[in-house]
Amino acid sequence: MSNTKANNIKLGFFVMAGLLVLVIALYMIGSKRSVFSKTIEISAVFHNVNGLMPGHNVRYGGIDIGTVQKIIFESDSAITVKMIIEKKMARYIKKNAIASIGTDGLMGNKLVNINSLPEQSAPIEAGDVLLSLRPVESDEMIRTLNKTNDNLAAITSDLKGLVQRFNKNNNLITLISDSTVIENLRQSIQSINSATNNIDNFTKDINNITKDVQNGKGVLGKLIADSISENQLTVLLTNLQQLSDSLIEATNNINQFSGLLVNGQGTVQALLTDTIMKNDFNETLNQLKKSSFLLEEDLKALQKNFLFRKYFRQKEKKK
Amino acid sequence: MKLPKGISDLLHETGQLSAFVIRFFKEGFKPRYEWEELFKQAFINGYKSLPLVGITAFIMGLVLTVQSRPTLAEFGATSWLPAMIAISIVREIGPVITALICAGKIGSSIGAELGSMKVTEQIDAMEVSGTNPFKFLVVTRVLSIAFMLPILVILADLIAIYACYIGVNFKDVVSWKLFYNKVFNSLEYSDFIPALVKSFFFGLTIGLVGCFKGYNSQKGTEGVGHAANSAVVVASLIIFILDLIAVQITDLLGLN
Amino acid sequence: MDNTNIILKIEGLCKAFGSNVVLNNFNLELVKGENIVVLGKSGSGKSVLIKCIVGLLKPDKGNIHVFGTNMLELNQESLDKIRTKIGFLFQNSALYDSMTVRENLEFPMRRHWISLTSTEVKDLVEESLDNVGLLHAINMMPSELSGGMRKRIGIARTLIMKPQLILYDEPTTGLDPITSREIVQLMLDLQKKYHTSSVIISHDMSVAKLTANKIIVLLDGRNYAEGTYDELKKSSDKNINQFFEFAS
Repeated sequence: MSNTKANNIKLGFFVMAGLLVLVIALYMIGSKRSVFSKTIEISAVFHNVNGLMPGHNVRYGGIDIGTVQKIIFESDSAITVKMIIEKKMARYIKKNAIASIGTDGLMGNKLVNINSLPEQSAPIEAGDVLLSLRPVESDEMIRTLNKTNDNLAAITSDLKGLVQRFNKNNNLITLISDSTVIENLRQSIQSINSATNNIDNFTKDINNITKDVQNGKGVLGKLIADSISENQLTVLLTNLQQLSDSLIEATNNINQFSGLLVNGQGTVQALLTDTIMKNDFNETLNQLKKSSFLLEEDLKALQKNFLFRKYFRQKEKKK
Repeated sequence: MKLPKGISDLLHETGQLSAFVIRFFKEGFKPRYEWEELFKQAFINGYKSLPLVGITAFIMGLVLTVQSRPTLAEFGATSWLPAMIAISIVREIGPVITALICAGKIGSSIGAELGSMKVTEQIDAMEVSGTNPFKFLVVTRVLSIAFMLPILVILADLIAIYACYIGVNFKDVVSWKLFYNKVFNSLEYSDFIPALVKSFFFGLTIGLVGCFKGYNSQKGTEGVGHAANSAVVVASLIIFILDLIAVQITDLLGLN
Repeated sequence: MDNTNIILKIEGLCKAFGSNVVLNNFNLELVKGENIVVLGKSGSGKSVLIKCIVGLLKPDKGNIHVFGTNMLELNQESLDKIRTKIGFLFQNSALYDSMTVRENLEFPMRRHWISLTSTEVKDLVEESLDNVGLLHAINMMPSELSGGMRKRIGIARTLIMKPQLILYDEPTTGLDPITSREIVQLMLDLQKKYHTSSVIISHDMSVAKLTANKIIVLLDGRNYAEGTYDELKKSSDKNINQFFEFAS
């Protein structure tokens, strides 16, 4: 009988050990999934959730603060993602924070990134709906902008070099009789033509962005919060500024040059027999003027926009 | 219509086993309950199986870790080793290996024990002395295994994961804290719970098949040997079939 | 008819396993204090007969009355109750291998007399073991016992419930003649002490000679012949004579 009792004690020990391990394991998993801490529910509306599933992590500032609870279709193009986040973390997240869908590592799980904006705002509360962004679209936009930028920069520097050579060299006769120079000029003017087209597209893009931002669609807002960082944006904007500066310089130079042409210093006029080229040249200059004006305007509009305010303010301070 | 002998035998056996299982559920939950025998069996089948299960789990955890490392190293993903091994142990290796070991150890001993009790009329003797042998022998054994196996699986998981920790530290240096953070970050309830439910049914299978084979053992020592042997074979096979069904159910429930 | 004196009454018992007819219209009547020996060759259905009596097997046809109660109409609970008054000694004693001798003897009591105190249980176990002269083996395991000792322990376990009817299934099978004689003597002693009646299944005429008030020869599943030892000895039937030829 005492043997039975000893055996039952061993059995009890065995069972307790098993249950203890189970409970600890369940608790450990649960604490990672914020099952046992106090939570609040918030949501964000996405256009595309990119395979996000309930149970995926929600990150704020790189720290896991909760999980995706539920994914519901609101309409054909709006998907509400309900998230459970730890209550103690809620006070660090502001109402104007932006949610985006990202990936953990190269091949990792999907997750919801919450990023804060520099503007002041009240902390989130249960039931809040965060702004969200469409990662793929903004990516594309940024890529197009950068490409256009590069093109423009290359062209204007070409143009600048050419025009400087024109201005410095007084011996125009030698210059123009040099057929390679004429060829260069022709090419440059073609380049300017395509550049102005590019600038037109570019300004349309910028216009759309600014309109969207002002209409509160938040596409540009996404730009900031997205994987494309603020740094890149700064570079982009700097480029824009430089670009418009050099455009203005270029047009001034061309103006000087064309002034020379028009003001009839005989030899030059005679030498420039190719009237088609001359017309082209003039037309280009007009377009260039128009484009740079538009660009200037857009940059001003950008400066006014609240999303970029910080950047421009800092820039002013430096001056 | 005349069925081939092999098929009709299989159908007969399946029918008998099903009737046995139904009888188990009918009688198992009616009083009187043989608590003392249940604890005794739980001690024999659970506690006494721990050393064997523990050693197996330890070796499995270690070997799996060491074997998986080169493949992951090719991708430069050795840091995933703890998570990968932990998930495979908790989901599959732990329950199945433990169940197979127990099918070998417990299934055969139950088959042999009940077989020889049947042959030497001990089961009849019990019935004559007013004890329902089905309850006293079958229900207690089956329930004890069904409840002990999940516990064995939990402990086996723990041991195997610890072995994985040792295995990881053969070639890398990973602190215990980082190791368990990685393990528990990768594990979810959907890894644990289906595995435990699965283990419970594995336990039921081992007990039911072992008891069925023993209870229906043929006369003679050969019959007892056959009962023990076929208990192990049939139980192992059913465990794999259940595993297949379980993976499909968890998949249907979206827990995979 | 005086029902109180008739312990066991079997009428028209039939039992078949598939196409193999084992019992075919078998009759038996056991009066209080008597011993009936059922003689038969191996496979003649003797074991089936006593298993039908305690309800381990269900007959196809016929009636079995024990102490005036129809065994075939009882539910499980009443069946268990009446079984406490029936002792059953199995062919190979059927001791529980996983239990000690003490636990083997306690086993039938735990099931029925839950009201007993542990000292009462202890006393009963010791008394019963003392009856068969094996008190010293109380903490041994069945595997440590010889065939004769196992038989005695089996008898002790049967007797512990103080049954009024004891069914012996081949009590001397597998034992040497001297041990057989001892077992038979023990059976007779205990019968005197506890006033039991018994049905003894055997193929051994020497057992029948010593114990039987009446012998029934079971052949082809029916009562082939009945009578006392002396009556049957005078018979000229060769089926009966062959039992005597091998008797010592």
